[in-house]
Amino acid sequence: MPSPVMTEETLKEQYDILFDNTPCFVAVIDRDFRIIQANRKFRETFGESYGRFCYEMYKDKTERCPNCPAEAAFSTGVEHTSTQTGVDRDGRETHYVVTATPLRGAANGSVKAVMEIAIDVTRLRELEEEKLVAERLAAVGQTVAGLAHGVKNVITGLEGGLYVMKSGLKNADVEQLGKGLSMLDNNIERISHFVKEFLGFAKGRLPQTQWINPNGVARDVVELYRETAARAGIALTAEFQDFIPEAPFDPEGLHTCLANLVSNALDACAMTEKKDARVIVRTKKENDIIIFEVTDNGIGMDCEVKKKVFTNFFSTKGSGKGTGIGLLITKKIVQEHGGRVDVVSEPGQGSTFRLIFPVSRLPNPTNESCAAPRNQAAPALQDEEKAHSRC
Amino acid sequence: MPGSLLSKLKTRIPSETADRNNGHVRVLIIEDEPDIAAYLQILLKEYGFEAACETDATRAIAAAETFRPDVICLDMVMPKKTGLTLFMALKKHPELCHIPVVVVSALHPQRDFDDMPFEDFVRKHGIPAPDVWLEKPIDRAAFLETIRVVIGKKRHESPTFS
Repeated sequence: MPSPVMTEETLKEQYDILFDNTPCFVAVIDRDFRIIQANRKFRETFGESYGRFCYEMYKDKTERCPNCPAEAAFSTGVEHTSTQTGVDRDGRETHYVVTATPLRGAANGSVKAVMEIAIDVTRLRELEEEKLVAERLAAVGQTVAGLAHGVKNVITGLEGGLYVMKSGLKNADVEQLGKGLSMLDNNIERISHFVKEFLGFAKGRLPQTQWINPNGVARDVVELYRETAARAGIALTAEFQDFIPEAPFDPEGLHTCLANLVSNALDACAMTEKKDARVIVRTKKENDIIIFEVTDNGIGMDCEVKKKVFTNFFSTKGSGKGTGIGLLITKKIVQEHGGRVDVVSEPGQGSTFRLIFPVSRLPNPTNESCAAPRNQAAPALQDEEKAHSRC
Repeated sequence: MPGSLLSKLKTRIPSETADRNNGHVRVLIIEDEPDIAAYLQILLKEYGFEAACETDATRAIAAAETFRPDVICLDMVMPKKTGLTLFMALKKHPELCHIPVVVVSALHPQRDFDDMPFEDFVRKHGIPAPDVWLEKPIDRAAFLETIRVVIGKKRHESPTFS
């Protein structure tokens, strides 16, 4: 609150000090997109800027940027915020969140200029990328370590088969000999299946991301399992939020994830004798986070199983019914989309698996799929630029 | 495992052709993999034990109540009910709590329990650790000797498992 005794000169001096020392980038832009005022942090980062075009300063470009928040503020007369990627005076990539606020002349007058206040989030972005890499490495480590669990069971089965066969031979017991051979057969088949699945997992495929309707994939998966569920006497229902904007997903990867969850949920229901067995597939968007949810009222899991489901080739479906790779693949695909998998489960009550995708962390669309989504505003500028650079 | 017990055992494990006179010792195998269950059952029978299998974990307690084993071999990762849940239930069961339990699992009691080693977890719930933890694939001689030792220990020490 200024003191009543302050002179206009003192106020101006205080304003200049405040403006210049504001610890974020501040620039005032006129209707020609020329910078008419910039604070010290802006000048130090992007260089002397008076009279130069904002896109020249921020991004070293020669023409205005698409999805410009200043342009939006001029045209709509309201504040706009977006995440941008620029280049500092030394040529380093800089990430910042910028809010463009319209500045009017007289009361309710037209917008004369726009003030852009930007916060440098470059380090935050680097940390986020480092975290993603660390998560992926951890998943690989856990996968390799987890292989042991499945293999150890198969080795025990093979050793058992060999022992039973030898014992049959020694005792001239044909029945036992046959049992031993059958055990060997079973476990050789299991290890072959296991190795094929693991190789498929390890080799994987590069996500082919494109703008898709999230509800469309969920609907396909529900349709795929509708008949299986009906045959098993399980009610499979879809509860999709009406309008979820298109988002960049690998449709095949997302389909695999949801199919794994629905298949597991049906298996979990089949293990109970509940007459009202049900599986519900939900989609929703909350605060820029797209969520897919698969809920069942099946067998549920105790804490021991919950801890292991994503870290091993871990199956509790019983002999011959799974290698435990489904959730591992799901986790891998979800992580490749910058998302995470949550699970809530109670033994005897059922489980809810949620695939949680913050839209800001979804990967850029690849190759032929660079077109902007049909039903929403263009993505943040840096995403669009990167997408085009790949085309 | 109860490493100390295994290290003691390893120094005195005889060959598989050792004394097979284990008659009247009853072993219940709780294992969902039919091949592994059959293997352990045939192995134990060959060495004179009376062995029964239960491949459905939800029926394991009833099987133990009926069969009244001298020792239980327990798998950890099973559908419907896990070995951890079963172990806790067995140790809280008034008539079964004294029966020694030998865990036979592909899991390692420390490495594979991320938050807390298995022993610490059950102790936190006031339950003693299993007598022995054998990791799959098993060493046959060590497995057989383990069964003999835990039964001997049980008979020698007291009727109450601790």
